[in-house]
Amino acid sequence: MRKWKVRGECVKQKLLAAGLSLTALGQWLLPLPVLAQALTPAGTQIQNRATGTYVDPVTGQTINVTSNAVTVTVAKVAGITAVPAGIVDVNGGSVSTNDTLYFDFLVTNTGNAPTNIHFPGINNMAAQGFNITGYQLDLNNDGDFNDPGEGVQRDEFTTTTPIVAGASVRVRVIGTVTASNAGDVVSVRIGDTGPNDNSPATQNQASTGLPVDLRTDNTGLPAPENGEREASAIQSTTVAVAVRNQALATILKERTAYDNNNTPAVLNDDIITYGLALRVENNAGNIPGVTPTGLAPTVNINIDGQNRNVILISDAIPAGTTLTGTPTAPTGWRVIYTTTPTTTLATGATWTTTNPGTGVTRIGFVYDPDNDLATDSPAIAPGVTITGFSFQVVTSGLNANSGGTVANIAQVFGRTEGTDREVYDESGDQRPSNYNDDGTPNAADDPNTPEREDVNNGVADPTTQGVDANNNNTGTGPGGEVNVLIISPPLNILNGPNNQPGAIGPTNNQDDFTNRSTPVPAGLQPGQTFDPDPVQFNNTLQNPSASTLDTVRILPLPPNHDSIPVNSQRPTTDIPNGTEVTITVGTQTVTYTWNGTEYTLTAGTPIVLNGIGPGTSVNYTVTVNLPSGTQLSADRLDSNGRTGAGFNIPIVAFVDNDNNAQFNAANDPIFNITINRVYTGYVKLRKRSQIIRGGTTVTSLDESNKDVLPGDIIRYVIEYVNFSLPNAGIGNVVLDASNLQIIEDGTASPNNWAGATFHVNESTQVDGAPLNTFASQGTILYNGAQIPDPATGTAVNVYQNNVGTIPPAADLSNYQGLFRFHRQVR
Amino acid sequence: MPRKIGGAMRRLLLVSLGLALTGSAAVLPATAATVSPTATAREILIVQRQQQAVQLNLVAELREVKKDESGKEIVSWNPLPNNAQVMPQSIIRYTVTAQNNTNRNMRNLIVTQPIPEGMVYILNSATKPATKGAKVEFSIDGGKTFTERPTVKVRENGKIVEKPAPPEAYTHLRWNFGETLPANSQVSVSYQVRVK
Repeated sequence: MRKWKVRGECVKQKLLAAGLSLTALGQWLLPLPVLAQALTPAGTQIQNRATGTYVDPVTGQTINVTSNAVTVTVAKVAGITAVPAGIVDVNGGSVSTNDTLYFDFLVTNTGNAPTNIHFPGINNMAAQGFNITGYQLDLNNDGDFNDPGEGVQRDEFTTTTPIVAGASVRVRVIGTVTASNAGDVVSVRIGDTGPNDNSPATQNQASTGLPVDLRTDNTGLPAPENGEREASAIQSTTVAVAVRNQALATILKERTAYDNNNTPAVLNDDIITYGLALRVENNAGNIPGVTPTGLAPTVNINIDGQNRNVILISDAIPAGTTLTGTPTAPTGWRVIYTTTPTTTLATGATWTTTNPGTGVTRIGFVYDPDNDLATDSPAIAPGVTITGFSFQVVTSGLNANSGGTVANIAQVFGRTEGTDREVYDESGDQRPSNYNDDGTPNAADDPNTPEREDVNNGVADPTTQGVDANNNNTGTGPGGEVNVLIISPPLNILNGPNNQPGAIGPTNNQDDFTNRSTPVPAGLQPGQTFDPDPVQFNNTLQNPSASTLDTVRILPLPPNHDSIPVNSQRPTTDIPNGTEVTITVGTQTVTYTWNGTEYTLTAGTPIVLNGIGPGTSVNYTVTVNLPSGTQLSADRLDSNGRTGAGFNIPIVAFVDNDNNAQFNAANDPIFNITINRVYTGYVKLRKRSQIIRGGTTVTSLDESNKDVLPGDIIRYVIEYVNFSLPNAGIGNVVLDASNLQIIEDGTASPNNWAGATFHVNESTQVDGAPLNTFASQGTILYNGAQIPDPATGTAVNVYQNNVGTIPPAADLSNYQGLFRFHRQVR
Repeated sequence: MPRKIGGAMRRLLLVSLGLALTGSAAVLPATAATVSPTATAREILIVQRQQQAVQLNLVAELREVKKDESGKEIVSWNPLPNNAQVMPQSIIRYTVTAQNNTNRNMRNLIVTQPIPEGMVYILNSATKPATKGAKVEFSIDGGKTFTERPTVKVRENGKIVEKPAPPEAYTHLRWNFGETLPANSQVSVSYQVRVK
C-alpha cells in the first residue's frame, strides 16, 4: 500500500538527498528512513555529465576531462488512489435501521502533476442496505466541509481547481440505513474499478472514463503520459440492532347505548349502538425495535365489483342481531356492506357501497378522502386518532324467554407504509397491530411478515377470544377481546305457603297466606287471655327467573307495611308487643321481636341467601310465638271483625338490591310477600237455651239465664262456626277445623244440669224441632258411646258431637252447624 | 522547474565552452583546425572535443520491455534524444565511454558520475571496466568519500547495527579504469537509475 506523504516529509526527503556532513561509514545513527515514494514533479529536467581525470604518461600530468551533458525531462503521469477513511454513526451508539451514517473515503492524487478529479453521483455509488442521500467533498482536506464547494451534492462532479500532486480530498457519503435485520451488511462503494475490493488491483488503474468511475480528469491540463487513471474503494459495516418501520394500528370499540325499547320483557326488540375509533400509534411503548410508521392501505378489497386498495375496518353483525339504520362514518370514510357469509374472511368478502337492506353479515368502513375508490387510501400518519364510527343492531334472534349474549368484535386491515407487510388489529384492548401484552408479535399474525391475518373471520367468540369486561377496550390476552352484552328477562322472586311459592291471595301474589292456629287450653272462657304455644309455618320461596338471584333476604313486616296490598293490611295494634318471629333456612336462623312499631332483631343473624339458580325453590320455616296476655281469636273476631281475628305476620322474601338488610320496595323492587296468619282458636261456639213447658215454649231460644220449674224441658242448642279466613285466590293454606268436637258435660263445672235434669228423647215437635238429640253434622256420643239417641230418662251426663271438619265459613252471617239436646227438670 | 546540477559541474561546463582547460596544457592534434569566427559555441565545442587526447562521452538509454509472440518479455535499451520526456519510474541506463585518441597508453583514468536529483541508483547496476586494476566505488556523502560497499549504521531493536546503504542514499559513482587506458582504444562503463 502506498504511504501517504505530507509536505513535511517531502522536505525531509530533500534534506536527505543533499547529503550530510557525517561520513558515510558507520557514523550515521538514524533510524532507517521511511522514504516517501513521491514522484518527481512533471517537467523536471534532470541533467547528467561525467567528469574524469587521467595521467598522461608522457608528461606525468593529471588531466581533467568532462563528458557531454545529457538531460531528460520528467513526463507528467496521472495517478489516483481511494481508501476507506471511516464510518460515522451520527446519533452515536450502534448501527441501527434508519440511522444516518457517514461513509468517509480519502482520494489522493498520486500523479506528479496537478489534476482534476471526477467524482460519481450518488446514483452511481453502489450501496447495500443503505440509502445514499448525498455526499460532500473536503476539497482542501482541511478537516471540515464548510468551505465553498464543499456542500452536500448528489450529482457527479469534476473539480475545477486541480488537486496538486500528493494532495487528498476527503469524500463523505451520507445516507440512512435501510437494512432491517441485525447482522445485515451496510456498505458504500465509490468508483468502479474491478474487483472493487480495496486490493491493489483497484488502485491507480487505467480509467474507463465512465460516469461511475472515480478518476482523474486532465481536460484542459497537460495530458498525462499514462492516460487518465481511476480507483475505487468500499467500506462496510453491519446492522447491530434492527429497527423496523411498523404501523401500529389500534382499533377500539365501545357499546355506546342500549335501549330495551321500553319492553323489558320483550327481548328481541332491543337496540344496541356500537362506537368505533381507529388510532395509529406514534409511540411504540413496550414493543422493541420498531419505529412507528404510517398505516397504509391493504390491497384487493372487492368493493362494488372492483379490487380496491383501502384501509378497511370490518365489523361482523353479532349473532342474534340484525343491522338497523345506517352506520355513521367520519369525514373521509365510507360505509360499505356485505352479505358474504362470515365463513369467508372479511378481506375476501364482496362489499358494496349501497345497503342491501337485508342479510347484511358485516359492515365496513374504508378510508376514501377523495371520494374515489379507484385511488388508493392515503396513509394515516402516526399520532392520528379517528373517531365517529358507529352503527346499530337490533336483537332479533335471541331466545324470547331466556335472552342471550350479544358478542361483537371489530377488525382493521392495512399495511405498514412503504412496505408490503400487512397490519391487522382486533378491538377490545389497547394493544396495536395485535401485539401481545408483553410486546411480542401475535403468533398467528406477525406484523414483521407480509402475510395477511388469515385466521379470524371477525365473528366474536368470547370463549376463545376473551372479553373486554368493562366495555372500554381494556381487555388482556392475545388478540382482541369481545364486547359482550347479556340480555336477560327481568328478575323475579316468589314467596308463599309450603310448595306454593306462586300462591295468589285475595288481591294478588303479595297477600297469599297460610292460616294456622295455636292450641287453646281447655276451659278458657271468652274474654280470657293466655300465653299461646309457638306455631310453625312452612313457607317456600322460589326464583322463577332465568338468572340467578343473589342477596336474597327474608324479613317479617309490620302488618300495615305499604307493600302489602291494602285490603290485606292490618293496624300495628293487631300484634301484641313481644311477639317473636323466628325464621329458619337451613342452618341460618334469626329471631325478630315486635315492639309495637317494628320488628327488631333479637337473636341470630339476618338471613341472606346467594346463588339461588333459575327455578330453584328454598323451603324455610317461620315460627310465631305470641306472648302471654294474648286474646282468643274468637274475641278478636267480635272486636276486629273477621279479617282481624287472626294475627297477620307478613313475611317478605326480596333481592336486597342495595344490600342494606332492610326492605324498601323502591330500592328492592324484586320482592314477594306471604302472610303467615296465627289464630288462637278459630271456631266460635254459641250456646242457647229455651224452656218448654206443657208442650210449648215459654221463652225464646237465647243465651240468657232462665228460671225453670220441675217438669220443664230445657232445649239446649249449641252452634259453631269456623271464622278463620277462607281461601281467596290460589294456593293459600286455610284452617279447616277438623275433628271438631262439641262436648257437653253436665258434670263439668260450671255445668250442673246432669243431676238436676234427665235426658229427653221425644218425637214431639215443639217450635219446629222434635224434643230429641240432633247434630247437623257428624256423630253423637252419649257418655262416649256412639249409640242411637237413648230413651228419655236414660242416664246421660256427657253429650259429644264429633262434628268432623268444618271449613272456614263462606260468610259469618250464619253458624255453620248445631247440636241440640233436651233435658227435663226433675 | 528544471533542477540544476552541483556547482563543480557548472565550473567545468564553463571551461568546456571557454576553449581552455584548467590545470594542464591542452594537447592539440598536429594539425590545427580552422576556426571560423562565425562558428557557434556548439560547433566550437565539438571541434575542441575532437581534439582531446581522452574523451568522455555520456549516453542515456531508456529501458523498454516488449512481449514477443509467445508472450516472453524482451528488454531493449533505446537511446534517448536530449531532453527526452521520461515517465516517472522509468529506468535509464547511462553509459560513459572513455576514448583514448592518442597512441600512448594513458594511465589512471578516473571517471566520476553523480546520481542526479530526481533519480535513484539501481543497486548493483554499475559495470566495471574490464581492465586490470579497474574498480567502481560509491559515495553516500555527496562525493566526499567513496567506497565499494557503502553501509549505514542504524538503530534496530535497541542495538546499533551496520546495514548496506539504501539506494536512495547513493550520491555518486566513481570508476577507476585501472593502470592503463590503452592507446587508440575506448572503454565503456554504465549504470542504471530509476526516475523518481
